[in-house]
Amino acid sequence: MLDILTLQFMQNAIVGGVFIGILLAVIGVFTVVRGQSLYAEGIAHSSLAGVAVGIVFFDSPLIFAFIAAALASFLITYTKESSSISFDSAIGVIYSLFFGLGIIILSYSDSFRPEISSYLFGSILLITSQKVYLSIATTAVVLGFIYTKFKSLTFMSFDVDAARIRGVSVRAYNYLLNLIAAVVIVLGVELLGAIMITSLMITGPLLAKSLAKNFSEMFYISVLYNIFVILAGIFASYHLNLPTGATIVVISSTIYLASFTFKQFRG
Amino acid sequence: MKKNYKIQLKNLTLRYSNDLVIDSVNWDIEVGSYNVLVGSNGSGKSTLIKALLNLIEPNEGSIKYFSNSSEITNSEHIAKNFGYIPQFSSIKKTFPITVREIIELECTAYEANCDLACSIGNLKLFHIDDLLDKNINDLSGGELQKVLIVRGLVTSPSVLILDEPTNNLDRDSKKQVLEFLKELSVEKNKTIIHITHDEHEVEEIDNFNLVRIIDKKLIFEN
Repeated sequence: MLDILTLQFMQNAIVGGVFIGILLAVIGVFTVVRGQSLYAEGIAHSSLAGVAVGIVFFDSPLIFAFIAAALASFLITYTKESSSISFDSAIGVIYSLFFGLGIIILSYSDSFRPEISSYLFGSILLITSQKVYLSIATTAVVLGFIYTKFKSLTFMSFDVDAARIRGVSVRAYNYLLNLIAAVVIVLGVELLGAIMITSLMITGPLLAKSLAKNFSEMFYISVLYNIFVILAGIFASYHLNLPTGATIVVISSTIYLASFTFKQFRG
Repeated sequence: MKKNYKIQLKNLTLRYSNDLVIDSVNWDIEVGSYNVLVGSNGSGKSTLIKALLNLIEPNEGSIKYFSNSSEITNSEHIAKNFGYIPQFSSIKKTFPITVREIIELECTAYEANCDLACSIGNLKLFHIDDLLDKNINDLSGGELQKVLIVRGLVTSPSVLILDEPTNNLDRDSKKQVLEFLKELSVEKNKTIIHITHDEHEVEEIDNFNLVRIIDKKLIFEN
């Protein structure tokens, strides 16, 4: 069974998957407690505009996916901050625009490009060593930021008005946290694809929220959960010859639903 | 050193999504006064206190803060000298956080201003000091309401703004909280702004300034 660990592509998938899983869990905790579960869906879909520009004009989708996601993140946050509409409504308006633009740009391409399938469904087994290094570096930066600003981020997530009154720069942190989440989501799209990214971002934190005694515990449980389902998904998909991203998502959602049902029956 | 605040509202007009909520009102809030702001649901009480706490900008008119007759203009003074107890319904009760953590969070930006020992004392006063390491999800509505009051006092604020602070309390707890607030005003010279929609609650407080919000205006009664 462990012979698969000698394969280079499998090593990349495991290391890259674990680090991206940690990132998605940590950022997912903030999106769940702030009631922004649809954010991953919105940013993942918005990044199609960048993927399309990268494919059609430059042959380099990832960097343009980051740019499109960052722009969408800024517009969503700005729309929410400067009007009375809800965060979900802001996501709906912005991601439709970016997704539509992506489709229009892709119509300039003469043939079907495999990158689109990878964007939609993920390609964890095709992760290059470069992207593994990128995910490790991103994890170090994101965890460093969250560690140093943990109290402010917790305060504004728990009670935004009290945080503002007590001098926390809520507006700046909103932009920054949403931008970091956008970068993490684009990396996650490499793993699971735009259609399934939300799963790894919210199921772990949702389960952790119901088990954790304090906020720090919610992070530990979410991270361990994501590492477990990613490793389980990679091994199961390899041995059962199934698509890896979909297997990870099915395992993750099944565990969550089973624990939810168990809790309901236990009362 | 804590400042003794006087707050002055002059021709203050507030709008919410272009709807007029508060229409050109004046109000002098004196140091150490106990003010009860009464109005029906949706009358603009919460919007008015958000303006007092600098969470929203006045559409017209001004809110000025004075300490010993000198106007305060720095942006940090509210963070350091105001305490806010929000409506119980605005708190995320399923957030995985302990009582100790939510009290300590208040000290995030200005740690030196906090008096955690005083908070422990206040928790003891309300007989809830054994809840310090409990998740707020495990607290009753009344216990959480008292925790919110203790949290609002952790910086020993000069001005305390309470939005429906007795909503989830039983009769005895309500009496205890109202006496506690009165003591803060009389003995510690704190300015209290107590918001309620409950006319019966007004009857249980004595020696206060009653301010009603009616038709977007403030009506003052002694």
